[in-house]
Amino acid sequence: MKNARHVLRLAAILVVGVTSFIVVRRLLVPATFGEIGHYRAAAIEQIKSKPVRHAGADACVDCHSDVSDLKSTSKHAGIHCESCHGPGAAHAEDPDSADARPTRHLAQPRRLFCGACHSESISRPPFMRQVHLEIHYPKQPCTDCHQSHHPEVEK
Amino acid sequence: MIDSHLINEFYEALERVSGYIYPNEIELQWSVLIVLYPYITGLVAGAFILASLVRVFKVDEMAPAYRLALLTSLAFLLVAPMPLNAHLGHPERAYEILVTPNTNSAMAMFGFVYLWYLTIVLLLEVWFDYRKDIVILSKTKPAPLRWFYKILTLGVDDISPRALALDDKIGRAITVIGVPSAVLLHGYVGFIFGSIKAIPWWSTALMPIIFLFSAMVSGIAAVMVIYMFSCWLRGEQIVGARMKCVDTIARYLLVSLIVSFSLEALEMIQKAYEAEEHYDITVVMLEGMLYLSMLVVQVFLGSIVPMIFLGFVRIANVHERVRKAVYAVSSLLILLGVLAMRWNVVIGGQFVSKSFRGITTYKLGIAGREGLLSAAIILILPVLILAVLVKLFPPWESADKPTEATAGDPIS
Repeated sequence: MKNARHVLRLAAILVVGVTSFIVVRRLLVPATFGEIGHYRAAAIEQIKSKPVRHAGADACVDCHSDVSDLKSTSKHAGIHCESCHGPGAAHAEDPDSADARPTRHLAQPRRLFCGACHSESISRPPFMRQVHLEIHYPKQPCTDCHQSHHPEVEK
Repeated sequence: MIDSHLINEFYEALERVSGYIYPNEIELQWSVLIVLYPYITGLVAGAFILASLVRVFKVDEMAPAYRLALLTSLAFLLVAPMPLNAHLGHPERAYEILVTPNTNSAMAMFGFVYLWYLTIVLLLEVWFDYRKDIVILSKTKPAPLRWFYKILTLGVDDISPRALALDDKIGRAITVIGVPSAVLLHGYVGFIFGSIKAIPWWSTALMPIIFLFSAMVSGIAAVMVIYMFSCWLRGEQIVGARMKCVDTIARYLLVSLIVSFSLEALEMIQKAYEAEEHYDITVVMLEGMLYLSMLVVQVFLGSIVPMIFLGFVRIANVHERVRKAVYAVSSLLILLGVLAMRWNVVIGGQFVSKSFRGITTYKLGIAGREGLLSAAIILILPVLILAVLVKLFPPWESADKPTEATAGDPIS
């Protein structure tokens, strides 16, 4: 044992290390951890308290019924306003505020924006109208011919 | 109001995808930093396995590189969690994986795998191996460096033959535990990729074994490069015992390279033969975005060329100078090839959409948390740490002295 003093000291350090880990662990684990699952139960309340950014389609219809009526008869009827215009809770709360106003059209260039759903792809469902953006009137904005809220072209 | 920057990013992303992909697949979740993580842990495991060849399996020819291999392993291990921390963000929360362990998640167990390997295996092994040197340095070095060594001695400066024999015995026992631990560490990294069912490119039971062998290949190549480079830096010629050492390292490098390459080839052949529903899109990816990094860099430059080079010097009677050049070039090519392999696994696996009908791309930024610069810093850092470690704990032993063998001897 005389020649093993360094080993004993090392073992002591390991024991102290493991013991302090156990003690520190008790202090570090949040109080509500594990109550429901492998997470801090209080996190749910914390997340719930965050401000809501989306208002939902009904809030838009209250004021923009003309647009909603038009859209309801079109192929875009199933697409919610905020899908293209972005979150609108702030705007619904304060319709006059310029800062809170949702984007009029999601952004330029609109051709790419429309292409997110309408560019040719064999794996899209066939009811979604698809075009080759490169050959379908490549220089023109889509909205020259299609109204976003009622995109069917009248013949 | 939607942030215009986000909108621009969205359009930019749309231009980068082809075919049909799901919206959450546009952006790759695992970036270049996750490429570095298996690369670095691979170097750790490989370098350690090389060291264990000397300690446990008594491959005495490699003794001159033994301590350097240990320090290389330690230097890279210290940096191993960095890419993960940088990728996840919030490093201040990293301790949480240790205090609230989730035993159902292989990924969340990393903290324990890492801690075990760092403290129980590497630090202890280095400490027992260097204890005699530490005690001597604590008496010969000037303050304040002396205090540093003094602390490391734990206040015991017994370097009697019996104490040293005990050190050797314990060190050997730790290495015996260390080998399965090294296998566990890197097999574990492969296990994480192999168990991701959603990505057929990863989801194979061979993954842990492939990762393990590529780890050995990269670790051995890294030790070879570092050993040769440090000899050159110190102005010492690689002759005699040192030449025998690099010859032996090259031998093990060749063997592990052949096994590693065969495993990877087997996996690809099996995939091609099975030709499951994801195979067509995999071929599109291989012929397109992975052509350079996989077929050219990983397979040709990183595996076939070094295999031919190393195989040639084994068979032919080649002069020492040529052998050294071949070893250096082959090792560097292998290091590049294994890095490319990690890239092809991590990034390549995320290119293919779960729809199997579309492909996304990856744009590597220069700056930013997950950019090229961060990756470069993380890759350079272990080399700097190794330089400091080598300065603090010189790995050069008396056994390193060249023997009387003459330069220019053919391989034995």
